[in-house]
Amino acid sequence: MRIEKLIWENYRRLPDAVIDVRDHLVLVGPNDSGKSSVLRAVQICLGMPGPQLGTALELRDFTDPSKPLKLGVRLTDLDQNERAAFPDEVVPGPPPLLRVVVDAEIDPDDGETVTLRRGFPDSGHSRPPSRAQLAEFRWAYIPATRSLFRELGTTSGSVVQTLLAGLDLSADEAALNAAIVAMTNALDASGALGEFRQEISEVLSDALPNEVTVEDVGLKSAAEMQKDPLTGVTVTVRDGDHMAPLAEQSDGIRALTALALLTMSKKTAQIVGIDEPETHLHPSAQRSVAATLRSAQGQRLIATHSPAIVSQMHPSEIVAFGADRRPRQLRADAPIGQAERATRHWSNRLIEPLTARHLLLVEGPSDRILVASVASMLDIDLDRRGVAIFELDSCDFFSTAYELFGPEGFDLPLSGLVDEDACEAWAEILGCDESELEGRSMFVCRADLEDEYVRALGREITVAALLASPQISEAALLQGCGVTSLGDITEEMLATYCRHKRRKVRAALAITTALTPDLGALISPVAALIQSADAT
Amino acid sequence: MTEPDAASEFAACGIRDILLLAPAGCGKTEALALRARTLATNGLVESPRKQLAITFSNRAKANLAARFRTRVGIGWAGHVTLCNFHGLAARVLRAHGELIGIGLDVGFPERGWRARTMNECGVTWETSGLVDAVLRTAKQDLADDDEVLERLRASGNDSTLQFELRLREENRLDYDDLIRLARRVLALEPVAELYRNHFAALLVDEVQDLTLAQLDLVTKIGAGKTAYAGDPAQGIYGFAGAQPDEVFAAIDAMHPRPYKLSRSYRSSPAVLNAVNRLAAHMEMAQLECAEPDEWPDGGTVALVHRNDVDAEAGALLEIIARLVQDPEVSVGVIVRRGSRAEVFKSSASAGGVDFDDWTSPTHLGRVVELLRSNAGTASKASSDPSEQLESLEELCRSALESSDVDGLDEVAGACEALGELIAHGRTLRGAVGTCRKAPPLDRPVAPGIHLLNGHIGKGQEFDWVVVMGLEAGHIPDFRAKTEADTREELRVLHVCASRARHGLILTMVDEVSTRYGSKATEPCPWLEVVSPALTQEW
Repeated sequence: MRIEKLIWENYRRLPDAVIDVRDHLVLVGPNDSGKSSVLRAVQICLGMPGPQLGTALELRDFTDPSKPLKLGVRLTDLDQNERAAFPDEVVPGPPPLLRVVVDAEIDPDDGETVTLRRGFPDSGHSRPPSRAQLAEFRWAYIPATRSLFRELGTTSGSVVQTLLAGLDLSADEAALNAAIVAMTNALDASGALGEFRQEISEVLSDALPNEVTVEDVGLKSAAEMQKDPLTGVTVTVRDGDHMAPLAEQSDGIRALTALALLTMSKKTAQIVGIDEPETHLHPSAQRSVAATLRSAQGQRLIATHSPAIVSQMHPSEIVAFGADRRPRQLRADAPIGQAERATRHWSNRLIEPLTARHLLLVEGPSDRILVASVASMLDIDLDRRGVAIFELDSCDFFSTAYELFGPEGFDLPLSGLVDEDACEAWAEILGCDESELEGRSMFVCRADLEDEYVRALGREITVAALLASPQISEAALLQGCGVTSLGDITEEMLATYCRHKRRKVRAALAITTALTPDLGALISPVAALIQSADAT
Repeated sequence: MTEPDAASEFAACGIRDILLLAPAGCGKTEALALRARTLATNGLVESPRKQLAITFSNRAKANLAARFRTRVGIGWAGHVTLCNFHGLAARVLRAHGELIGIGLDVGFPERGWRARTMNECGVTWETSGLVDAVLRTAKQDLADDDEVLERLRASGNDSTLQFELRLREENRLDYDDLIRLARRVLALEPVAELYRNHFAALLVDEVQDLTLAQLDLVTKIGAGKTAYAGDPAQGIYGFAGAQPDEVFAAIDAMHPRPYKLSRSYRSSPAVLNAVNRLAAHMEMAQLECAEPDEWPDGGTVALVHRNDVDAEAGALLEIIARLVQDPEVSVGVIVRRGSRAEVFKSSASAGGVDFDDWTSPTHLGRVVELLRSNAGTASKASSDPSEQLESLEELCRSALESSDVDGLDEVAGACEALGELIAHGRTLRGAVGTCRKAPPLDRPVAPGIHLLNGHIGKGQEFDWVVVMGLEAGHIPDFRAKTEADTREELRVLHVCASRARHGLILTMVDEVSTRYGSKATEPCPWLEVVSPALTQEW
């Protein structure tokens, strides 16, 4: 069984949406953008025990308290054992489908009491999922706040205890029960404990209305009380020269351990929701966690800020929330062939562009430096406006970026900065004429950015700006331009000097020191690029 | 195979088709519950898969539920789904009916609506049997709605056609439609597969009361894994379409592993003597008493022979008063026809004798509970009692599962009865107050006096049983025309008599009053079959 779709309506501050869930789901977005809300919605549908449902949703969970709230999960790929739990509820298909929906309303009379109903909309009945049915979803949820100490400890419901509970001990039942009896006998026979019991009986006799004799006082192990030989049993792992309980390992080891154990047993969980699995983990450990989560059986729903984790997942599995909290994802028929390779290449810096309100595509670091600087000159705070600058590394990657971010991909509002010599290629990718590029928010540097900024700043200011850089000496500049006097340097020479691939970034950094709002506005493709983002 | 091995081997048999022949009082319910326990505990049926137990009536359901609780344990419902045929069919239709165009808004059958509408379609008491039979025949296979109409037209029975059109007009189903349409849904392989997958083993009780259509519904889910249990001697639903001979033949064709019970744990030697004589007359097997020495005096079979029904009622009330001096004793007074019950009821009421009237529509415990718990809210809904009643019915209905056909029908019936009280000037609370707090369904036979008929009493037992009116025309009913009808009447008498544990009391009168005056009676033809078993005359 796996989740195929999630829906929500009138839920928290999220716009109503339906999202597809593929092999796995990776939720990315800024803090408070709705990632955790989505995992919690699944938990309410598939995980929360009936008695807890009453308090699952509160007034603040309703976007508009006067309207009903709806959460829904659509499941597919049910195997025969899973279908056996849902004879009335499954839509027989093919393929068989199972929908679980939570409907909630606020009582209009008191304005705060929430009535909530969890059920199967295709079942023809109004019964909520039974305990057996809830168990059959095999969903586990690890909120970001969940204590890993607890997860690995002896508390019931922890990962370790769930794994232990799933074991078939019937073959060893007699031996284990005998051990409990032996333990009880040892407790009874112990002299020190006998005195202890005696003392208790005396104290209780004084305190209670009836006399308590030593025979009335017993000492029992938790295993005997629970009639479960595994009560209190914990897993230890060798740490140097002693065996240390899992729960007492370091934060990082505990996180890795808990996540690894979660993927261990089919019985434990087939669909696991994890909020921020990167907590406590070094980036390389984050990558290995993601690889473990990916390779394990079943489906993972992960909310994360970790580029390392995102880099391990398929782009079609990513759902990105921007500042507007609208989820974005690749369509089922998105041409992700190229995009997948690009994600590998760009893996460590995908989160920011995917969660941006507007994306500026530039070729490389020098472009980014100049665009950011001009924006600040123009008093436009790109971060606050949710505008991200994304470096393509090469203009050849535009087609890949357009597939991934463009209307057939994550459908982000896009602008770009392109050199004259790449115009033809970009226009072809966009399916327009070169003359229409600007209308599509693709701004052309003629012939390239260096030409543009040298032209805008003029000869004098450019030379002064370059020489003001501690890394550029006059001699080097003269030599680079192939002249002997500063007066002989032409704008063309300066542009050639600056676009040299070893000097590009250094030159761009130097230029930013000379920028003024007026000069910035003169670098017209850059200014237009920034304005285009501001307009959306 | 004979017991006690038969019952335990039946319980222990692996999952396959098996047939348990279990005469009255031989521990059939116990055997079924033990089988459910075996399958639940030996890992043959594990969650989320369940066993499906199908009974015939809500009372039989309650009896089996009580036994499951003791044998399988308090969590039995996690292992066994217990329902009757209507409930099963309704469940399947609610869940997957849309696949054959049955929406969630379709109304399920209700006896009250049915009777009124039949009446409006010109069906009388005399013609109702034929009308039911024509409808049943038209709907006995997987025919679609058009085909059903075609058949009713072809039958030449205009009332059936009118009734069918009324059903369609009001988007309602009749009982036969429930079974027919559920079979149509289960004929869709992906749907049948869902239920076959969910239900790993089936128990079907009282198979002698099944129609072939109901049997087909069962086999669509349970072929190859069903335990059938029944007793040909207790087939008393032929008038309602049961096809015991055909059903047993169809089950035999599945080559089930057979088990047979023949030792009565219920009845005293005296009662068994009478029951066996009737059984022999029906060419059915004889039962032996499991513990013949445990019964004081070996039990009692008595005849109360009086001149008329008033004297009969008087004598009976005296005898019963003596019996119930023992506060542990239960007495079941079984009447064949309602008119005979009226005399007993009014004499009992006049004498201040308290009794449970099982024939009352408000007798059912669950319904009384629902009515009572909602009466307060309903009476606040309006100042007009009949509007209050509407609101009460609505509240009670919404408290039930939409597939609870019988529960909804019981609510409708009870509210109809309350409506009559309200029409006679009672308030809603007053009317609900007259509903006797019935004992819980799972322990229906409390000590005291119970008034019932042969069909309701099926599956129950009482320390003493009174069978009233062993006169020709009453037993067998004068409407029994064919030999088959008459045989069924004998089986009804046999079912009544075999409810008795310690003592069986038969009554007869010499004359009855008709609207033309007094009329001398002839004794019931089967009295002479039983009379050698009489131990007393009272």
